[in-house]
Amino acid sequence: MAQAARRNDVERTGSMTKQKILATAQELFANNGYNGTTVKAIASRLDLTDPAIYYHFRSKRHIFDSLLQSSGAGQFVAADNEVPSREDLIDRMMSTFNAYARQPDMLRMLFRQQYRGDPASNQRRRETMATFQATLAPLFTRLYGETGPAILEAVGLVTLGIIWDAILSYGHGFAQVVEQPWFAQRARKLFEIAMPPVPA
Amino acid sequence: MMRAAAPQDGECVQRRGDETRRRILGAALDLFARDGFEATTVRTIADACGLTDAALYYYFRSKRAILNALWQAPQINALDAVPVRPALTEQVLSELVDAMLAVNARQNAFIRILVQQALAGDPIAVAMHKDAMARWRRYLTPHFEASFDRDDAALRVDLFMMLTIGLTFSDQMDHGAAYASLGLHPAYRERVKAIANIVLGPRDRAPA
Repeated sequence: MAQAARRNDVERTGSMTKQKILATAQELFANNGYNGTTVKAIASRLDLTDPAIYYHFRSKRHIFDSLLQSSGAGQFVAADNEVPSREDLIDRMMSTFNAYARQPDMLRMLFRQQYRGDPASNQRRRETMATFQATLAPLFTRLYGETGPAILEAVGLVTLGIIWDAILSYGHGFAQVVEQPWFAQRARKLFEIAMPPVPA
Repeated sequence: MMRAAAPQDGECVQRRGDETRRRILGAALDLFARDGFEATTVRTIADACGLTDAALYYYFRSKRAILNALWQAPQINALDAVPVRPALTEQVLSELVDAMLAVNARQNAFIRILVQQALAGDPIAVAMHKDAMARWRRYLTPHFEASFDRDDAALRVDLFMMLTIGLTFSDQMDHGAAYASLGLHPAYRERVKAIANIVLGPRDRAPA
């Protein structure tokens, strides 16, 4: 009993350390880039030694891949069979947008790696876009007919454009900018133009 | 005789010097775009031009000086003129997409360096990004104001720009240096025009 409890304690501490390593690494990857971040830098931010990090992750690449796996794919709400209203679709797009905007460090980390041409990060991006498209296309088709999937694709690209432009323009300040009400309001206005009312 | 020949030699050296400078800038443009500014060494650039490090330092004091010279290249101002028409038709939209894709393809290496430097927090690159966005806004606005009031036109300009940023960066991520030719491919241009027309074109299509 006592031994099992101790093992649980150790496991819990271990998994907490793992979470701390991931959170710190994400912040450093976002601020300094993957190449500009060393395992030593991650360790010293956490008052750990390098071997303590290597106990949890075999390499810096493994830390990155682990973060990549946790990035927000597959959170899109599945389609039901009703014809959605335009307002409903705009709301769904806004919740996707807001879910993205709530993870600013992850977005900056991914953008840096994707733009450098890192294959795993770009693979993840394509998978996320494909899931987004596959999940929401039936809804858009029910409302907009055959132009639905193209409207959806455009709205997905606009979402990326807004986020990438803001990362480039605000850098470290991106995390504060996404909290500003105007940031989401502007996205909603652009979605409203891209997704026009359907004539009765 | 000897005296008269001297200036000619000087001119020749000068011309060769200019050509070497251009060669260094061309090689640096490609290498910075591919590997990033930080990861590129002066030695790699010199090797690519068949020069020694020492010879390269004769032309540029530092790697940073090469980047600064690239920033000042006149190419960034070259936007193809699209005449403003009485209304924003599908045709006008198509010409604006062509102009955008032509600039992006032509400046692919330059944009890739700029984006990576802005991501690394280089203040010059961040300022240049904002400046380029402002220039695009000024360029697009009269075309949209031909059909929409000022506020609506501003939103549509914003939509055009965010759409093209999302599209261009996605394709640059997937194609790297090859985006320069992809961006000019007729099938690719048609695809971009179709997307732009569906969300920004005149809305006379049949409902579902």
